[in-house]
This record gives sequence, structure tokens and C-alpha cells, in this order.
Amino acid sequence: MPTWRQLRDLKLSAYRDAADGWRKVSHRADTARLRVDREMTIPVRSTQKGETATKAAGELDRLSRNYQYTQSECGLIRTTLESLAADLETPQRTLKQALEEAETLTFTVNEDGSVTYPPPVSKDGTATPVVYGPYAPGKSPVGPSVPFAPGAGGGTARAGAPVPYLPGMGEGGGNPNKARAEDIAERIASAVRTAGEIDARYAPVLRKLKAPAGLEVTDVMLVDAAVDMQAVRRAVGGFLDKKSIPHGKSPAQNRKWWDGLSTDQRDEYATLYPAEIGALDGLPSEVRDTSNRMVLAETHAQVSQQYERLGPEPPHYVQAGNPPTAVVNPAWRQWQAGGGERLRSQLKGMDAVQARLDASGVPGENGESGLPQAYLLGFDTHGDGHTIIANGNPDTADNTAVYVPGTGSKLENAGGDIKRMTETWREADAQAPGESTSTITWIGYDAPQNILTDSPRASYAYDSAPTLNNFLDGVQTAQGGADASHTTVIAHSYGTTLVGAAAKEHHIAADDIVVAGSPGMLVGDASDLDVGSKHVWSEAASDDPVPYIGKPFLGGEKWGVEYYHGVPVNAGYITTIPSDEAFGAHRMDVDTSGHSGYWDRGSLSLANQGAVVVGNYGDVKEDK
Amino acid sequence: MRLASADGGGSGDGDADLRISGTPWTSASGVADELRTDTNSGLTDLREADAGAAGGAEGFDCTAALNETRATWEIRLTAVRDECGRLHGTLARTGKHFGEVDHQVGRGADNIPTDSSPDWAR
Repeated sequence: MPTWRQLRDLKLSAYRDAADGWRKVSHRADTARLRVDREMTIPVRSTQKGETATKAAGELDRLSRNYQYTQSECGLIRTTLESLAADLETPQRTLKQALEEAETLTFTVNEDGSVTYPPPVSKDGTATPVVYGPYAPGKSPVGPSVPFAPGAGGGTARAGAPVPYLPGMGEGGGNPNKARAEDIAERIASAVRTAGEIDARYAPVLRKLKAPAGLEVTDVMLVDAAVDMQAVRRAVGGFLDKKSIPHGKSPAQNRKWWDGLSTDQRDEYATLYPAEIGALDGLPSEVRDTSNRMVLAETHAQVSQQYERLGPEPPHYVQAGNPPTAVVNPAWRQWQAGGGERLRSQLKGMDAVQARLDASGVPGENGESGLPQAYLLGFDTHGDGHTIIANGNPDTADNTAVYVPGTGSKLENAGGDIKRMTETWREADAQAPGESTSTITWIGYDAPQNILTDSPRASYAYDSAPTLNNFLDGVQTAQGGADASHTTVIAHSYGTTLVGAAAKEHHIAADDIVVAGSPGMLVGDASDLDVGSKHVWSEAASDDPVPYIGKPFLGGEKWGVEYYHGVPVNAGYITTIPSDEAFGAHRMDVDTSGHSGYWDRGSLSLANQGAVVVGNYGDVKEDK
Repeated sequence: MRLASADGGGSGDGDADLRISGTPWTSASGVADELRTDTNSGLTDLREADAGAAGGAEGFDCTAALNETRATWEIRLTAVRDECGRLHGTLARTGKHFGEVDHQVGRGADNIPTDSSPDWAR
């Protein structure tokens, strides 16, 4: 607990200067992490195979994690100190005002915060002497003729004095200084008390932010880091408010807010609210990537710790009763109630995301060039879990592809959807080697999970259309406008229904739309899709059942004629899906089989998509 | 990601463990050295900033807490700095070693056009 003198002499600039030092350390660590990832790990991985490279890459990953940890924690220390200085400003100002007033009134502020005041001053400017003591007969009284009340002559006021109902007129008698002194003493004590409370609130937070020794960044440290972040948020309260981060705004408005912040403020928001900043459409991909990587690291650590605490999965069923029958094992039920399968599926998804982050630079099996830097543009475990991961920086890409997956897509299954876009990246990069391409896996919506009960419903598509449009608008905003990059939306299965809803409801920020295995897009004609029918491309394998199954539920209606191999079979209001001739899309040749083969490496199905992505429309093989 | 082609030119597919050219290792080693210097500057930032706090904020528990926390970070950052120094050495040695083994490849790499910088370096 500081004394009033210590509060008066406190240099708030000392904390602010310290905060600036921590800011520099945090910022340096951020830059250093990027350099390790991009200038060391990727080149080492991309040119090397074998144990030496694996070992070196492992050590570089550890170094990278150290910088990530340093950036986050030192950023939190910095924000804590800034907020501490801001909070201490008010009590210090209150104290200084009280002290100035005491000085003006020639009161003396004592060591313990009490205030000594003189007797009242008469009109001629001389202090009126006031005598104490019993009335002595025969002596003429000096001073006021009324009996003296305590404090009327002068004395020492302490905080906590009872408030007189008539200031200066009650027990203080004729000395107004008493009330003034009491007021000053009260304000001094209150300022010191407030400062003490602030001090006691922040000190434990600062102590929590200590760094363990060594070079390992363990799960325990990352779990603690997440807890630290919560503690700092509580302590700094209104200083850096989560509410000031735009919520439900357009990507352009998000970007305007971000651009209006100083570099310092951006650093503070990114370290204190990484999940919110990482999810903000329209912000630079670099910023979202850095924030989401921290969220991923901390979430992975938390979830694996929880999962390990549950212990190994007990047998699902046990034999019980007479005669014995299989019943659900109570131990398994408890394991499942503790998170069991949910945590395991989250870990599976996070491991797939991490595997892609760690694959940058690794050459292909047959010596193909390595994948580009990955950008984690979105990550959370809400509901079924979501993730958005880009191969190559979309902000600077000549060609951009955004993949919208279908039924069953969720964080747990991220691996397969990520692979489809790494394959598309390799294909596009090979077709346009001089251009930069970014392919993005967007597991950003709550997809239907059950093909029988959920998928026939259009509601999933309509509910998620704004989310997809926001993301696409955000990519365009971060790129610097509609003409900055050639953007293709690639959708699979129910994802094509979502794209149809998105294009129907809002301008879709894309130049081309590729649909594969579409069960219907809720519109009857390619020209309803906002990009022009010449820019809608469909792939449907002859043995893919999904288009036939989905058509009655998710197809669109139009007034026209339905053909089958050039022969008119139906006319009037007809239901169409993209693989129908009447829909009016390019129907690209497909050499893959089934509902899930469209991204098989080396296939014509994939080559056709690649040609659209890089804008080489003439290379597309299609039914004319 | 054109760096990978540096060993695709002339050497064919020899022993996988020898598909290593000197350049990426030595350049990574150079970055390690720069990061060592930079991390050292971070340590200086920390020391200078906190010298101020010790002078103008007596009586506050936060000052004591900050000093305790700072001390732990000095130790951690020193370890990180030293790790950069160590990596600088090992990466350079590995690069030199493999560079000599893979001399032929190194010369082959000179003929590869490098005008298009890899995506991650843009």
C-alpha cells in the first residue's frame, strides 16, 4: 500500500516507459517469428530431405513457438502496464488537487494523511487567538463570547470524521477551517485507498505473467497463457474494451476501424483479443493469421490437457445382468460426459490444421515444388468447429480460389478439405507458374451433418449465406478491390447450394463459380448466379448420385424446356440443377468417379478447375 | 517455392539425404545471427525500460511484481538469444558440409532463373 507521498511522487511515465519496452519486445518477437517461419523453416524444408532437415526444422519450430509465446505474453504485460498507468492517473490527480488546496489554505498535511489547520483568520488578516479552558471569574474573556467547541481554535483533521450537518457551524464552532481540513483529509485518504486497490488488483496479474525458464513451450505454458489473457482482460476492463471491436459490421467497416488504429493499438487488440481479431473479415491476412495461430496453439493445449485428464477411453459396452446383456458402460458414459469424443474430434481437426501449417515448403513426393506459406484466416471450436486456411497469401494473389465444402464438413474433417485445396493450388500453380495463386479452404459455416435428415433442407444454405458473403467481401477488401485478384468460388455438394443462396441474396464477390457434384443451387438458371452464365462451371460424375438425390429438394425453378441429350422432354416450369443442360452453365468434362473424386491429383476434373482458377478458360475441356 | 528446383537440375535423384544444397542452410544461418542480435536488443529494451520504473514508483507492489516478472523474462530471452547463436553455428556448419558434398548441385543452381521470388517471400 503506497503512502500519499509515494502516490504524489509516482511517475506514471515510469510504467508507461516500461510498457513501451515490453511493446518493443513483443513486436520484435512477432517479426522474428515470421522470419523464422518464412526465411528459415520453409527454405530448409523445401530443399532438404532426410534426418538432418527434419531435426533442424523441429528446432526451428521450437524457436518459432518461443517467439509466438513471447509476442503474446509480453504484449499482455505491456497492456497491463498501460492500463495500470491510466487507472492510477485519477487518484493521483485527486490527491494532487487536495494537496494544492491544503497548501493554499496554509494547512499542513502530515505523514499519516491527517491535516493540521490553523485558527480562523479575522477580517483584519490576523489570526484570531482562541483560548481554551474554563471560564475564570474576574478575567475578561478573550475571543468569542460563546463557549468554545472542539476544533474552534485549530487542530488536526483526520479522514473518517463524522460529517457535520452544518459544515463549519457545528462542533467546529467559528472555525470554518475544520470542515475544509476534514474534507481535504478525506480526499487524500480516498485517493490513497483507491491507488492501493488498483495496485493490489494489478500486481498479481503482473506476477502471473512470469516466464518459465528454458526453451520449451509446453501445453501447460500455453494453457496458462490463455488464463493470463483472461486475467488481463478482467484487470484492464474499460481501458481496452472488447466492445470497441466491430461486431456484425461489413468487412469494409471492419477494415476502416482497423486502419484508423495506431500500430500500438493494433498490437494491443491483437494480443488481448486474438480470437476476435482473427475472425474479423476485411483485415489483412497477415494479422488474422498471427492471431488465429495463437488461438490454435492455446486451444490445442487446453483441449489436449482436458482429453488427457479423462484418461484412456473405457470400453463402450459391458456385459451385465443375468443372463448377461451388453449395456452402455457407466465408465464410458462418464468419459463421454467429460468431453470424450467431442475433444478427440477437435484434436483431430486441429492436428490436421497444424499439419498444413507445418507443411509449408515441403516438396511433393515426386519432387514437386513445396506448398506456399499457409495463412490461418479463421479458427474456432464453436459448434462443430470451423477453420479457414489459405495456401499462399490471398491479399497479394493474382488468382484466388475459395473452396466451400458440403455435408459433413466440420473442424474434425478439415484434413480432407484442406487437401483438396492444396491439390488445387499445385494444379493452378503448374498451369500459371508466373502468377501467384492462393487457394482457401473455408470451413466457415455450420454445414448439414446428416445427409438424410439435414441435407435436403435449404435452411442451412440460407442461414449461412451472409457468413460466406462476408468472408468473400473480406477477401476482396483485403485485396484492395474487386479487380485486384481473379477470384473463383469452388463449391462441392451442399456447398454449391450455399453458394446459390449467397449469390441469390447478395452480390457475390467472385468472378467465377465452379460447382462439383451439385444437388441444386436454389436457382433455376446460371444467369441468376450474379457472375454471368459464362462464368458458371459445373462438374458432375456420371456415377455421382448426389445431383439426382438433391434435385427435388434443392434444385431451382425456371420457365423453359428440359432437354435430354438434345431431345426436349419437358416444358413449362422445370426444376434444374447445374449439371442439367437447361441450367446454362459450362458442363466441364469429368474423368473421376463418384461424389468425392473431383480433386484427385492428375485428373481432368482437377485440371479443368485449375484452368478456371487461373483464368485460362480456353483450356477447359467441356461438353459443347 | 522455386527454391526446391535448385537440386532438380543436374544431380538426378541420388541419396535423399544428400539432396541438400548449401545456400538455404547458410542463409538460414545468417537469419539466425540477425535474430540473435535482435533478441539481444529486446533484452536491452527490457532493462532500460524497467530502470525507469525502479526510480519513480516506490511503494507500489506493482513495481516489485514487474521487477520479478522482468527478471524471469530476461532469463527466458537470454536462452532464446543463445539458441539463435547456437543455430547460427549448426546451420552454417551443416550448410558448409552439404555444400561441399553437393558441389555439383550448387553450380547447377546458378543456371536457374530467380526472377520470380517464392510466394512466401513476397
